[in-house]
Amino acid sequence: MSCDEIKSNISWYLYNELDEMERRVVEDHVETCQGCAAEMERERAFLARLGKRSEIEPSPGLVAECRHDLMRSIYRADRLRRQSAPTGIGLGDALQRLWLGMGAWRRPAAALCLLAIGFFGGGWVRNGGRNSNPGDATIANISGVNLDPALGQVQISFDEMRNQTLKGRLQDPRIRNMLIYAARSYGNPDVRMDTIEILKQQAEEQEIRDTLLYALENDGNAGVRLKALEGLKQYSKEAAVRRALIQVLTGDNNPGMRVQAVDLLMLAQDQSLVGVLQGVAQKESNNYVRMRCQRALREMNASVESF
Amino acid sequence: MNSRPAPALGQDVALIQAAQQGDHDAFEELVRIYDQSVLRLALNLLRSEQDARDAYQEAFLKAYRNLAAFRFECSFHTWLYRIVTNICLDHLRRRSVRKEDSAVMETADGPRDLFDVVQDTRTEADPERDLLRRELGRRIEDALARLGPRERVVFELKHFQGLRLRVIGEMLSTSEETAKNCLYRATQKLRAALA
Repeated sequence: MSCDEIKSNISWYLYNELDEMERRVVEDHVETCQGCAAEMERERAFLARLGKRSEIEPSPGLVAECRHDLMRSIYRADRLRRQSAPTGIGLGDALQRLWLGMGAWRRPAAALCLLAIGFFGGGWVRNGGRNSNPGDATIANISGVNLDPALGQVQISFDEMRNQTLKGRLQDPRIRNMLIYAARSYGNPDVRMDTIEILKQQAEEQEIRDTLLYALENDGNAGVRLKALEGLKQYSKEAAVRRALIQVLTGDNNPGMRVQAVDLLMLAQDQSLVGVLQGVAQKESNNYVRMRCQRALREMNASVESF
Repeated sequence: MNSRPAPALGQDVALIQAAQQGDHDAFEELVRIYDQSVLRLALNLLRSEQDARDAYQEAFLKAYRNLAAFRFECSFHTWLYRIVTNICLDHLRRRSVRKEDSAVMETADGPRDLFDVVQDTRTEADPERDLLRRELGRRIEDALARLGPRERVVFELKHFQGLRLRVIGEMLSTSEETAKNCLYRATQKLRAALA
């Protein structure tokens, strides 16, 4: 092997990435070649020098804090899951309990849920080929929603007697219906957040945008609402989206949401916003939102105060 | 370069199977086995305590939610490292878009450069030598920060974590050859920056 070939292998030798035979070739060559031996030492010194970066070792206290926070999150998510999804009962009973237990505003969403489960349930019995009887089915939990960007596939894991997985493209009606159900009705905010994250990639479709709007206006979790808002950003000039943004600006209890809403609303200098902005400028507790509204009013040559 | 061997596989298998059946204690035990190395990797890759905390939480929550899908096709260590590595990669990509310098750590005395905090924990007899070492460390940090996110991750996993390029390729859903090219580019850039 030539010196050039040996030199090109020196780094991989030092990184222990050569097989046994290649290693022996490099070692034998370096023993008899002063130039390559010197190159080997230079490379060794260089790699050792890079190792002078100080490695950060997490303190035991930091590890304990992280572990504590993690386990608390897990127990909280499991409690929510148990509360939101009855187990060990028939599908009909489960849905009846869900229906009776939810507020009026959630009932349209529950209708969607029925539709989704009916659609999906049928597909799963057909595709699975098992001797399942839909009448005996039990919906226990949606345990995960993930997107594989490499394959462009959505994966939803849920419990029905045992954990099931549904894979398909976002355009697949079964996937879409399950996602819409999860985004609108499912109790676990982590699942809703993951679902919205996936749905927002398809926000050019009206049905998906409606789901994002629904989450933005109704979801009890600020993280989920924020994700929905992110998905609607590029549609901030649409009337329905602007109405929802105004609702967020004037009624959302999370200042981060109000900040996002005011920034999006301000992208278009809309005179019809003057009254809303004046109201917010007077009552808003968050400095940024208040100042942003005041600045927008000045830019629109409107009074900061309402009379 | 320091390689940290994964705990015994047999112990993992029993714990993973129990955790897959919903045993919280088994999952917590898995967390105890792996969380220090996960946090160390996140801290050293992200150089920000808050980002590392976030990556830790996100990685283990993702592992918990997807544990049922783990089929023992690779070691649990590789599977978990794949999750945390990709989360860190996303952080680095977002940071490279924001161009933020996040090597800051909250301390009792207020925010301080993470590098200085780490250095304080060491005792050095020779202040001049200490200064030179700090200077070199800082130059290396600067050079590492200028690498692309993927180059940064591959370099960290190879040079500091001692993983094989084949494993790194698996973690990043790419080939060994691509990981090798990435490492080559990273070392060339570092060589130029530290010349």
